[in-house]
Amino acid sequence: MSIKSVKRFILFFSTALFFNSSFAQIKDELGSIHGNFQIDAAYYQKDTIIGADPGSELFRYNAFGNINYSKGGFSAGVRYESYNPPLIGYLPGYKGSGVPYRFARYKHKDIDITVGNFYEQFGSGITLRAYENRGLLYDNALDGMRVIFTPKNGITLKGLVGKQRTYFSLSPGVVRGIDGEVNIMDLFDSILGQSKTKVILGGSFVSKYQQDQDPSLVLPENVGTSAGRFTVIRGGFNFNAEYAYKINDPSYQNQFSYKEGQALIASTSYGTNGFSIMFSGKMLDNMSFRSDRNATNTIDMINYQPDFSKFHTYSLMAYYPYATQPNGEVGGSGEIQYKVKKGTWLGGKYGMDITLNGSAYYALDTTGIDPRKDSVKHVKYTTNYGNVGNEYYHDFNIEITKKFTKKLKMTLMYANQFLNQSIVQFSTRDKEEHPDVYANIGVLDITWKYKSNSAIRFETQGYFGTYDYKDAKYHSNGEVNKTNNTGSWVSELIEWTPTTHWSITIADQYNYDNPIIEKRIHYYYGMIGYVNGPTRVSVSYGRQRQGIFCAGGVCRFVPASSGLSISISSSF
Amino acid sequence: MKKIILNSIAIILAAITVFSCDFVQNANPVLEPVATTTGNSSIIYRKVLVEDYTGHKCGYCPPAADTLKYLETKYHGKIVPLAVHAGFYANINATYPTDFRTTVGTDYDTQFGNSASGNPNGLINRVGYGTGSFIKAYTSWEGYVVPMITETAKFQIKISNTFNTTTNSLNTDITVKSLAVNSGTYKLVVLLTQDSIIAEQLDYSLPVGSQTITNYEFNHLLRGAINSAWGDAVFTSGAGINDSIVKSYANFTVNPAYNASKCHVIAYIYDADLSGSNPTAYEVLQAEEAKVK
Repeated sequence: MSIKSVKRFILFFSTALFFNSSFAQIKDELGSIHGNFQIDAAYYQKDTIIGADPGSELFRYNAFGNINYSKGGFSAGVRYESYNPPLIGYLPGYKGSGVPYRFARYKHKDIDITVGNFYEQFGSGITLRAYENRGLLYDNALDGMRVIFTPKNGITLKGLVGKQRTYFSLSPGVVRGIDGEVNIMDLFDSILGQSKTKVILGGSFVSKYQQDQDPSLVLPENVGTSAGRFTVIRGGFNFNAEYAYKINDPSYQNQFSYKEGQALIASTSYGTNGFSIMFSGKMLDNMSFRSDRNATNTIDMINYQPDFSKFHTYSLMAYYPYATQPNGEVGGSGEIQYKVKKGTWLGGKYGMDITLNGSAYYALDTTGIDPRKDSVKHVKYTTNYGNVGNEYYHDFNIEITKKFTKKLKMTLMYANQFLNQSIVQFSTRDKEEHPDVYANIGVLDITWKYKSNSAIRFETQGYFGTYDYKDAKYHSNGEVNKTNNTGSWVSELIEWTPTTHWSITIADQYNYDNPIIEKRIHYYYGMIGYVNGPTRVSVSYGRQRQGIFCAGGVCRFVPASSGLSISISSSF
Repeated sequence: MKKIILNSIAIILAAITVFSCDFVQNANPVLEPVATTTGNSSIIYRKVLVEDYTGHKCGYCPPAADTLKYLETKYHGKIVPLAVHAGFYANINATYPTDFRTTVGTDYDTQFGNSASGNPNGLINRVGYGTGSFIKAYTSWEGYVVPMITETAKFQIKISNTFNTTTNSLNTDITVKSLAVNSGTYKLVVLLTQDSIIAEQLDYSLPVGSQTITNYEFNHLLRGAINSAWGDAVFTSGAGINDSIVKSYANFTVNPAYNASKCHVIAYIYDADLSGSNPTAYEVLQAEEAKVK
């Protein structure tokens, strides 16, 4: 793509967006129309130093637009999406264009009916969670019908049936579900209704149907998951827990095990002025639940197995992110936030925020069953719930944010992380090529607001990794195999915001300590951003390192990429 | 109040009854005598192209190769197996030095997105291009194969090979006969495969420390295209019943490093109307294989 065509491209989309903005919020007796648009496009180039080879399709984009109409209790909407082809790193099955989401909804008094596509969540989502995450290009919207019935204040009943979105088509399985929730205190108008303690009880049942076409196995065509939950709230205190049970559900994900699935999820929190504390715990065993038993990647998931680990925004803190192990795990997380008061020795003039966060996850303690003794039931393994297995991951971190003067603010962060790379990323116990990783990571982030509406932000990060080579493979020359070891990294970033509209960012990630000298590479990156009301435009140029993305026994290699990216979004 | 609670309970119970659960006591089906699908010898059935997209560094891939072997044994002569090594897991390194990648295999992998969707996976007659069920997990292959092998074929393919052992030169004549009134756009692709190659393969099902199999046997391995990845047009203006066409490919040199006696010629005819509105774009309508010598 020539510079001229890039210019034309930017002009076209900018004009289109400003044109739309001029119609902002058409509100009159005809109802109101809202919408939003986004396009992320990239023009890739070959970069032999980082091993980026985009092939012949150099221009790729992810684009979508929502248009919703509402009047009184009626609403309807459509979403158009286009990926020809999708950006590097996204599932290629999304290639194409279409309208995968359209709905009509009507609410009147105690009844709320939706036909077409909808998103829904029952409880924590362990039995059903239909949602979208546009950043990950995850969308398991249901296409069918949903009824929400509120017969009395404090009682909500939901029933739904539909098929899940699978790229631009639908899953072969049908999902049926019901959910009921009762807020005990709201039912009573008497003294109990004015109680400071609130108790909410809920239960759900979700079943899927998929035809058995397998000539060599008897597969359950109807598979059900049921769950019960409760929440207690009093003042700043909150406790909630949910238990779920799934019947035999052989699938590609669990290697066609007929074992039942179980989950126990609980969390509690307490918050008061300047202080909060939170703990969450979970035990998940064979709870992957999909509407297509042969689905892989993140396709056709009916439920959501929660992840309580901290979502890091600093790039090197998230160098090895953790994802819930779909076949089972046990663990938890905790967080304490404390605001040091103004005027104290530590707090100074503006106070200081301290956050302590930690999470750790372990394998279930499982024992494989001898296939000769398991030829009828195909259960494959048993679980000892009284114990835990090997460690998968931990992340202990502290974050301190302090404002020194009106102009100067600083964030300091430290983390200690461990990753059982072979299991979590490659689903194998083989540590020959995938050694355990231990890392200490530090971040210093300083923002200097040199005048009103203008600031410069400096960010420096260091990732100091060590690898456990006790099970590593040795080459014939006696040297240890370090194929998947990238050693340590540093990252520097400067972000200049001269006005509230514009920002310029320059960044570099440097793999200074890669054991292979040729791989000690700079991953540079530059971006210019423009924001005006709801409209955001950014143009960036740089390198993205390669990575492996695994979900349940299927690993997808996300190749390194290099090139020019443009992102435009707006809403009205 | 009491009425509401009772009604709610009744609704929930009714719903649970409707959404029944299937508890399986015995995962093994009761074996029934298999009806012979080719009982009527005058009917020509559709042969199914079963493609396994794989790589020697893909530790989860051996079960997919086992599935291909199982299907080939169980439905012998009714399927045409093909193993395509492409993508990240087919790259070579010091432990896996044998390069099984081919230009044609990489072309397919790029067009169909197999390795980018995570290996292993496969295609069954390339049915469902542009839909979510196009790329198929190996555990579902048999379920797709079974109904297809009982379909009456729209085309018949016959392969006639002559091989010169001195020059390693192959002449192949492919006869395509239309068995129905076919009004679409069709192309013929002719490929070379090889069996019984011994090399290294990663297998995650083995104990830690011995997951590299050094003497793994690779079968149905795609070695290259005899014409091209997307083939030559046949019956450009539709075909009537019994219309026949012969495509000859002469003097194709089989790499001397390949054992020609273990090589096969694979020929398939596919729907080459690739306009977005065609739901059967790329679908393979008939496939055939024959030994090189």
